Amino acid sequence: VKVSKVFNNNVVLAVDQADDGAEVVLIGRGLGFGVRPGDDVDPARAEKTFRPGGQQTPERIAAFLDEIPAEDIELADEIVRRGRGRFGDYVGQHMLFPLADHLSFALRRAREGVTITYPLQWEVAALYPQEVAFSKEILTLVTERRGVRLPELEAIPFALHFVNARFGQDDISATMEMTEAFAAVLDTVRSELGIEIDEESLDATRFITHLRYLFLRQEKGSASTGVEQQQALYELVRVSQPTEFACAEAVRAMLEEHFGWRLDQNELLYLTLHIARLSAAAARSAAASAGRGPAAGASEPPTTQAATRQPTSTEPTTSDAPGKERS
Amino acid sequence: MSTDDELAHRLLEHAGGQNNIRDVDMCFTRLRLVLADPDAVDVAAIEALPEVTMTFTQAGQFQIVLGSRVRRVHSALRTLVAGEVGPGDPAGTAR
Repeated sequence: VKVSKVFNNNVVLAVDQADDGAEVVLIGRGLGFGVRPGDDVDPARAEKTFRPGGQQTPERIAAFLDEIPAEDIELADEIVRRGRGRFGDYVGQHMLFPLADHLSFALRRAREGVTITYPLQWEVAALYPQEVAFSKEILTLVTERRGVRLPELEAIPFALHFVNARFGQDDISATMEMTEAFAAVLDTVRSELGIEIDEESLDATRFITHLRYLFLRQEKGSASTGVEQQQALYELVRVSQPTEFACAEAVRAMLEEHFGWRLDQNELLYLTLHIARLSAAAARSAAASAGRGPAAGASEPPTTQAATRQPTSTEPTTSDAPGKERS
Repeated sequence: MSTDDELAHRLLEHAGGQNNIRDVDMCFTRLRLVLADPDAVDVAAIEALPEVTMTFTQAGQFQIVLGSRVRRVHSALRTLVAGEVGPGDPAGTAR
């Protein structure tokens, strides 16, 4: 490989002719010492190799390597490997620098005793339970490796990094907006229908996946799904599911007002169908807990009347519906 | 003008103005600026803003820790830097 730029004594940018002229950042002790652009460098001498891509320009990688302690980068590397084992191949090297950067920042704040408030704490915890659970393991790993116990709250930003990767998002601000919108939609459905929604249930997960694609369509400005207006189906659903349809309209109004989204008739139709599923699931679990009667909640006051259709609080209360595993 | 816009205006002013900012990026809680001239930034004035938790420079970026407001301030600042000054930014006026 040929050196194209020398960042410092230990970091060079090189072009790999064997790989279609792809750029690689090589780090290794003294790798850049006395080397000029155009010189050959033996990639075997590099301790680590990084491929720039996306927002990670060679300059940014070089600056990173210069300023972020190597031990932080190594720990981030271990986190990425564990994350890949847990979540699959969408967790990759592209996460290394953002994670190392965050880890370094978190450790720095812990050292300096600075606490910050994270946005979307409740939303992230509620909407992405797998990522949050994994991130709590990361906090334990950090303690094992570095002897620092980061606050529990630090699981939130780690989780968001993995959510970002899951949704294939390059830009964390898009993931944040999306998360805010998801939570607002669920809140609207809860208060409009007066039901409980278990975010860990299959129906809620499906609904969130649907919203995820809705969000993508909004970003791309593409019309719903490219299908023809399903006028007959739309009318049928509107008439047969008036409550859920009204709820979908409320969701549409909220999304327009707060997020500037535009939902057409097809989107409204799909939204109604998903809401109907959530509402049916809520009715089922209400019936199940009502059926079990007083045996269901020994420590909590009876929640049977709260579980039936009554506009109760929109807060996630500790209900004793089966299958709940809320912390 | 929303307070997010106001904050973005103040940050822009203390960071040496539109021409000093090459790039505006963000993460969960931090605004990240790539600056033409880092010395043109009035760090003390920025840290004196009540909304700012701390600042530091890392990886060639001047980072301003803002916490929960970062996304809206980021979009407001981006609009300012792009020169499309005006309160009509749909992303900035959300809520």
